[in-house]
Order: sequence, then structure tokens, then C-alpha cells
Amino acid sequence: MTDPYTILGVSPDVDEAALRWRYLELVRQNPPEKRPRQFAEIREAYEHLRDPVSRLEKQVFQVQGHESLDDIVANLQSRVQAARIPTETLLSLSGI
Amino acid sequence: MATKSKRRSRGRSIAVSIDHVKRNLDRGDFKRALKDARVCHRQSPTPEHRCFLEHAYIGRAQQLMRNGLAEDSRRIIRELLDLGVTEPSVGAGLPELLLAVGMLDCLPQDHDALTDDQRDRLRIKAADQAVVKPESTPKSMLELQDDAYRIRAALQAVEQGDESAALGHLRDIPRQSPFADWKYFVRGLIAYYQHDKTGTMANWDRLDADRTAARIAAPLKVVAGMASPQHDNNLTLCSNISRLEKLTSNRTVLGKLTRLREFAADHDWPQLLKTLRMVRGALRDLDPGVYRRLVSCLCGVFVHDGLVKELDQLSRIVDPPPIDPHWNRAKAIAYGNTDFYDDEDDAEKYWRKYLCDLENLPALSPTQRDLARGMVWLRLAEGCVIDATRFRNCRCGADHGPDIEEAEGRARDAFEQCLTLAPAYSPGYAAAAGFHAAADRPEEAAGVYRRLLEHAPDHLDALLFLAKHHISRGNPLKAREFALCAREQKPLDRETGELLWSTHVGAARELARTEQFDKARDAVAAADRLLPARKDDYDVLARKAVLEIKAGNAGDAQRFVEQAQEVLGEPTALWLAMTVETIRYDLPWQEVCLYEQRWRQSLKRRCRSETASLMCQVLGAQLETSSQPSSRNEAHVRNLLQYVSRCSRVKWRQEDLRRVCEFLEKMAELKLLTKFAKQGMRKFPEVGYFHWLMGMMEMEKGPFKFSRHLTIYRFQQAIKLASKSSDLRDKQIVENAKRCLGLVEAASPDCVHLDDDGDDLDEYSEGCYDNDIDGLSPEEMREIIRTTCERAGLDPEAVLDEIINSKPKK
Repeated sequence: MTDPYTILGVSPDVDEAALRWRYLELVRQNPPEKRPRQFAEIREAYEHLRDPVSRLEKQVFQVQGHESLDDIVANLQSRVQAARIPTETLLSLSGI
Repeated sequence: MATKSKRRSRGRSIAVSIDHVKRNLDRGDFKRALKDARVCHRQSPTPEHRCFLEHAYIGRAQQLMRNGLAEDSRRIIRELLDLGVTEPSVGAGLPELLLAVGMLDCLPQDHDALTDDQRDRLRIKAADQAVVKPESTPKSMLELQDDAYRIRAALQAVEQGDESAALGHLRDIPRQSPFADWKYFVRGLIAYYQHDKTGTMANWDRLDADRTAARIAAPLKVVAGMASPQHDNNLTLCSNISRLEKLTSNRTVLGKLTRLREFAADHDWPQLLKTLRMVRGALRDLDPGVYRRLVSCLCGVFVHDGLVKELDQLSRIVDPPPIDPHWNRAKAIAYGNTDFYDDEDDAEKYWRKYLCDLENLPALSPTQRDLARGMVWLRLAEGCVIDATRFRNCRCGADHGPDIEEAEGRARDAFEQCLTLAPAYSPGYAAAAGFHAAADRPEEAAGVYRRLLEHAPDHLDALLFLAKHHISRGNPLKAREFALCAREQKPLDRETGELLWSTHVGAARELARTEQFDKARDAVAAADRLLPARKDDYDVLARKAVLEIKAGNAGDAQRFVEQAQEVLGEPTALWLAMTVETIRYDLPWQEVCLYEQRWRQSLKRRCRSETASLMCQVLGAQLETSSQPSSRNEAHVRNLLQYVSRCSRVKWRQEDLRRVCEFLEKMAELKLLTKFAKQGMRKFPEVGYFHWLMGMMEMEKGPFKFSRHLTIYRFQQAIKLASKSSDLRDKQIVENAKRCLGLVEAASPDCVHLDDDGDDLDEYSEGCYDNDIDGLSPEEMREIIRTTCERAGLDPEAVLDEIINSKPKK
């Protein structure tokens, strides 16, 4: 699983109310009937972080990162890949 | 100044020779070469000088074109065309250059040296150029423009996310067209945006590597992870990848990360750390989010694999995470994950350091700090409990009493710290209660849960524990209070319902003993309402009968007894239930003896599967709740065991045989248990419980006599069969069998040292011998051998004789 903080776009020191507000905002943007994959990801990330005690428990005892290096590189690659490149920029890569 | 300049110019023109031109052409300094060639040609317009001048012109024009100075390039080309091209090699390169600068139409009419091949190549280049720069399409090839516009329209449609329109634009381009390459490119681009690697590669692998489309696709392939930048180590590609990254994030970290990933894949940690040291600053500045994730990822890898040295190096390179400012937490976990036993001490050392860090950690609020410290104290307490258990299970024969006491003392202190700092943290209470319960200190365990209820009055585990605790202490009225609260939490839970039912039944007994018969009847009625299916069971009817006897309603009591007899058919179990209940209800001695006598008489009857099972159930439950052993109980057990021992030829029902075996397990009647376990295996091989029982019986033979393979097979079968069952008891069997199987499998087949729980104690007990054997007296040594032999199922005297008779020869 990708880092839940990254999925929700919050910092590790986010408080409970801000976390819930952000979660609801993302759910509105990614309704399950239209974007089920994104919704599932957001839901899983929120479940991971919602209980402050278990969150602190994980912070204290879990050093294992949520992501592998492959995940981080793939995430970055997909970010770059997802952006549509303007036609003129694309053609300028030819060097002509 | 002017004079000086003229003087220098004159001096230079004299010095210029054709050698300079040659040298500059070879070096690729076309600017200087052209300057010198012009001078040489002006001074002496020989054919040789003209040849060099033409080469210098075309070289310079190509150079300017490559550098993006198209206008300057065109100016130079015009000069060349004015001069005229006589050199064939210059003439050969001219058409492509003219095309590139958009002057193909200026190609001299007499320039007919082009072969068909060259013309085709030129046409392909013109097609590529028409796509990239439609305005520079030569007038002589205007027919290319239509298809070029189609390709551009398709690319624009892809940019806008309209894939079907893009494919529509491509439809009219024939396969033999010079634009066919672009069709593959556009299709591949659509797949690229859809993250479809297969589709992308299927199209882009067909591109002509020398053409424009392949050059555009190259950096995109790297970005999509379909190609490595190292495989094509050219500057243009790298700069194009950076351009794409910047386009989306204004950052260029992908290349650096890719390098780190390759080192990590090879487990080349020194190289990875060296690279990280070089790029850490750039990474942090470029993308702090990625930097944070990277540090967390690497830290996670080192900690998980127990790579303490690498973690230490990492801690010197990167900033610590806010939660762990001195890396003590990460080191503690890493030491806990290493394979060496001694590292446990290092782990504890770092956890204690981390406790100090937590006291003033700015990343956490004061409440969180206390909670986190409580959690760490709990971790330390659990470590101490493990130490105490190791000492307790050690079979070296040495006296570990003081060690156990010391470890338990540390555990107590750590638990206390945990509960004080984090009073609402329930795992701390559960662990502390478990610690006391395992050491047979039920009152202290109950005290821990009472303390939890002060902070969380509805905590279900605490309520259930205290209800069970009070039942076992013979205080059902108190137990009922907790059970009622638990029932409110989980009104549909079966286990909670049965617990509450037991407390109602127990409460009825307690109330009857204090002659509050109406309240006692209310409690019985509540039990009936709770589990209506049980209200006509023979044992429930027996309890009701005894209650009425106690209340002096002999008629009602007789009615319940008759009803129970009707339910049972064969009354032996009923008489036992009545005997047990009359004792528990404190009925007069004569009353007890009456039913006991009836039971003893009934025991002489022919043995029945159901009767044996029911009696085992009644007496098993009675023994569980009776706080202290009594001679009467012992006599009852003896009588029942005699009955059961006569049951070898009974036609067993599966459930009955299982209940009898469970009772024999509790009574530790190994001989009878083995007999019935074998019967169970023979008659009901499909029941996992009997396989588990046989596995346990095999283990009971001791480490030197048991068959490892047979035991493993039994447990495997038990897991397989019990997993299919919906019986709650079988779930427990699966768990027990898995635990035992793990322990037996972990034990070496050649030298198996198992404790009661099956723990492999080789490592620790060997250590004890090594450390302590020199200081032992002969008596102590004899005692160790005796204890070890007993546990191993060997005769100590025989072993001692063997040791004495096999003294090492000098």
C-alpha cells in the first residue's frame, strides 16, 4: 500500500478533525460509483489513520515504510506520466 | 586602437594557411575553419581552397542548425549556394540540410545526383519535418501537408484526452505512407497515457529508430519505466527526461531515485548510502515529500532486516524522523529484529533511551507523549515477561528462582509505569492481567481489570474477565453484575449469553442458600428467558428441583425430577446432577446421601455412551467452579472414572466420546485417555480433535521417545479436519495444533529438546550448562541429571551408570 499520508495528502501530525475533513473532501471528489479504485485506496488509508491510539502505536513501533523504493519510483513515474504533454512540447522533443 | 587592430589582422592573414583550415575542420571548429577558408580562397582561389571552403560552409551551416540557429544557418547556406557547390560530398549532404532549414526549394535545378534511395530518404525526412514544423514543408512536397496535419490533429486530440477522435484522424493514413511511423507513435502515446505498458511497447517497438517519432518516444519510455536511461546514455535523452519531469512537477528527482532503486535491488547498501550522501541535499530541496518517503522506506528496510550497521550509517547521512530525533527507536526495533539473542539487551537499552527522548518530543502533544511512553513501557514489560518465562522453562537444572523473581519484578514495575502513564490504554491492562493470570495470581489479574473499568466502564474484555473470575471464586451474584454489563455491550453474542446464563443459575443458588427463594426463582426465570432452548434440559430441571427442595416444596421438586427423568430415559446422570446440586445448595446431609446412593446404584447398570458423556460434563463443570478440592468430589471422580473404564465396549457416539476424552484430559488420566483417544481415532477418523489428542499423547512420551514424524502428521491432520468444522471448540483445536506443529517442526529431528509448551530450549539451556557447570557440587550435578532424565522420560540411575561406566580414556 502507498503511504496513507500521501494518499490523503496530510502530514503525519494531522489532527483527527482535519483528517476527517480531508477524507470527506476526497470521498466527494472520488465517489465510489465513479472512481471505485481511488475510493477504495482513500478508504483504506483513512481506516489506517483514523484511530489516534493505533496511529500513535504504528508511529512508535512501526518503522517499516509503507512503500518500497519501487513504489516511490513508480508513483513518481506515474505522476509524470499522467500529465498530458502539450503537442508542441512533445514535438519539440524531436530536436528538429 | 584601430591601428593595433589592423596590425593584428594583417599579421593573421599572412599567417593563415590551408593547414589551419584542415586542422579546424578536423577539430569540428567550423566557425574558425570557415573564416580561414574564406581568407585562403580570397588570397588564392585554387580548386583545393574552394573545396575546403565548401566543406567549411556546409559544416558551419549544419553546426548552426544543430544549435537551433536556423536563420544564421540559412545565411551561411545562401553564401554557399551563391558560391556554387562543386564538391560531390558537399552536394550529397546539401539536400537534407536545405530541408532542415526549410530551403529545399533552393536546391539547384541541376542537382540531379540524387539516387532513388536518397530521394525516398529525403521524402521521409520531409514527412517528419512536416509534422513537427508544417510551415517548413518544401513547396515541391506540398502533398505531404495533408497527412502531416492529420497526425498533428491526432496528437492534439490525444492531448485533450479524446482518444477516439485521435484514432479517427489516423484512419486515412495508408500503411505505406511515410507517416505510418507516426500512426504507431500516436497509438503508443494513447496506451502510454492509459498506463498500458504492453500497448505502448507493442506500438513503439515498431518505430524506426532513425526517425523523429522514435526520438520523441525515447524519454517517454524512460519515464514510464519501460527503458533505463543508462541503456542509452546520451545527453539529449537525459535533458528530455528532465524536461518531462519539470513539465509536471518542476523537479528532476526521477533519475536519482532510479539509481538508488537499482542499488537497493542489488542489496548494495554501501553504494546506496554513498549515492544517497551525494544526492540527499538535492533531493531534499527538490521534493521534500519524496525525500521523507525515501528516508522512511530505507529506514524501514534496515530496521526490518535488522541491519544495525547500515541503519547507523543512514542515521549519519539523513535527518531523523520527527518521532525519533536520535534514532533510538529505530535502533531498538532493529536490534529486536536481529537474529542474535544478546541483541535483546541492546534493544532494551535503546528503548530506555527512547523513553528519555519521548519526555520532551516536540512532534507529539503532552498527552501523546505520555501515551507513547506507556506503550514503550509495555514493550519493555513484555520483554521482561519473556525473560521470566525463559527462566521458568529452562531445564538446565540450576535454580532460576531468583532470576525469575528479578525478571518478574522488572515486569511489574514496567507494567505499573505503563498503566500510570497511559491509564486509558487497554492493551497495557490486558498484558498485565495476562502476566498475573499466567503466574497463577488471579486476584491481581482481576485487580488490573478493575482498574481498567475505572477508566473505561464498558470495556468488554474487562467485564467478561471479571464475570468469569467471580464465577470461579464462587461469587455468582457479583459475576452477574459484570455479565449483565457485558451483555449490554454485545446483546447477540453467544458466549456472553452463556456466561450471563451461568451467572443467573449461580445467583439462584446463592440466593436460595440465603433463603431468598423468590429472588432465586426470578434468577432461574431470567436464565430460562435468556436461553429458552435449555430450560427443559435435565441438568436445568435438576437445579430447579433442588431449589424447590431447599424451599420446602417437595411436590414441585418431584415434578421437576420426573420431568428430567422423562428427558433422559436413563437416570444415572440425573442422580449425579442432583447429588452435585444438593451439595452446592447446602441441603441436609440425608438429602445428599439419598441422591448419592441413587447415583451409586445406577452406576452399576450397563454402561452407555450418552450417560458417560453427561456425567463427565456435570462433574467437569462442578470441578471447574469448586474453589477447593473436597474428599466428596474426589470420591465422585473416582466413581465416574471406574464407570468410564468399563465403557471400552460401548457403542460410542462421536460427541459423547469427545466429552469423555475432554474430561479425562482435565483429570490427566493418561492411561484411560490413550485408550479412548485410540478408539476415537479408529471410529471417528474424520474428527480433528482425536488427531490432535493423539499428537499430544505422542508428545507426552518425551523428547527422546516420541515420533516426530507421527506427531507432525497428527497435528497436520487435526488442522486440516478441524478447519472444516463450524464447532467453536474446533477453532481452538486448530490454533493449538498449529502452535504445537510449529514447535515440533522447529525442533531439530536429531536432537529434540521440548518443554511443556514445546519450546525449543537448546540455545538457552546449553548456555546455562556452559556457564555454571564448573561451580556445581556432585550433589547438584546428580540432581540436574535426575531432573533432566525425568523430564526426558529416562531412568536417571541407568543414565548415571552409563556416564560412570563410559569415562573418557586417557
